[in-house]
Amino acid sequence: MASASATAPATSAPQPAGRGIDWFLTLALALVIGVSVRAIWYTPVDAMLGAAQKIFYMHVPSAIVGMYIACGLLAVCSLMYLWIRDERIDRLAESSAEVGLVFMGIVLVTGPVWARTSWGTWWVWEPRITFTLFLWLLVLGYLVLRGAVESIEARARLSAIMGSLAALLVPFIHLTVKLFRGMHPGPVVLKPEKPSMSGEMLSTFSMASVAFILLFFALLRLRYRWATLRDARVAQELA
Amino acid sequence: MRPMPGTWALAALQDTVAYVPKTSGPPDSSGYMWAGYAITAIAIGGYLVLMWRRMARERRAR
Repeated sequence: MASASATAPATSAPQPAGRGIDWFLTLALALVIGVSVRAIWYTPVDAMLGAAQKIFYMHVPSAIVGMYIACGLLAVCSLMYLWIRDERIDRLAESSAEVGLVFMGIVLVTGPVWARTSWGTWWVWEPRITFTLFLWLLVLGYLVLRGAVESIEARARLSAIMGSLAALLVPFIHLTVKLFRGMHPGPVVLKPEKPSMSGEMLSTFSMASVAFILLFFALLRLRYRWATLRDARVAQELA
Repeated sequence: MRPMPGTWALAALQDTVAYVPKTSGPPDSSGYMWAGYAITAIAIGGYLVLMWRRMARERRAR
């Protein structure tokens, strides 16, 4: 059942688009820059893979954010929208999908750069990489679908269905290293034994993960604000 | 045994992409590391520019 809020865009007054400095975003960016400096200059070089292993500190946190957090939020918001039909939840799902797409893009481009030096090839059609590419294409399709449907209610409903289905791929991607024989290594940090990396490397990785999570939420907040302004403008034009 | 300078120069002329074995330490893959960090910076920076432009357009439209 569609509520009135789903049939008319953003009737509530949008938050003022602050022209000042976004301190949350500034802090998140400063943390990402700081952790990059720490990773490049103050973290030990891997004995086998050399300096290229330091891509790990961007690649894995981007994967955590892009797949687990962004797609998880997309799934939760999509399911909640199908139940509650609140346009704000739809807007949050849309924002999470777009920001997640950026982080998954980082994963898909930095991965081959690292693979070139550690595996000797840019690309391998192995399960984890292939399914991550499929997930990226599905999220891209989700955003394309949103742009293609004019009816606000139909757009929100169809994209909520697609968003919740696309996110089903995430647990499958997580298990690919156990289900299939691929080239991706198994868990390095989260495993029953102690992590397979030194304390300094582990602390850099933890900091990078926190910095990327904060950056994700800062970008999500910015994207949500923009979507609110956009929907308010559309509502004014339709009125 | 290290090659003589003349042999070294001849080898470099013959094959400009010859691999030179290092005596110790990990392989030099710092170029790949820089590429990875540059890609991350460009992706995040590019998205910030996109969002800045979108916000500016919405403010102008209001």
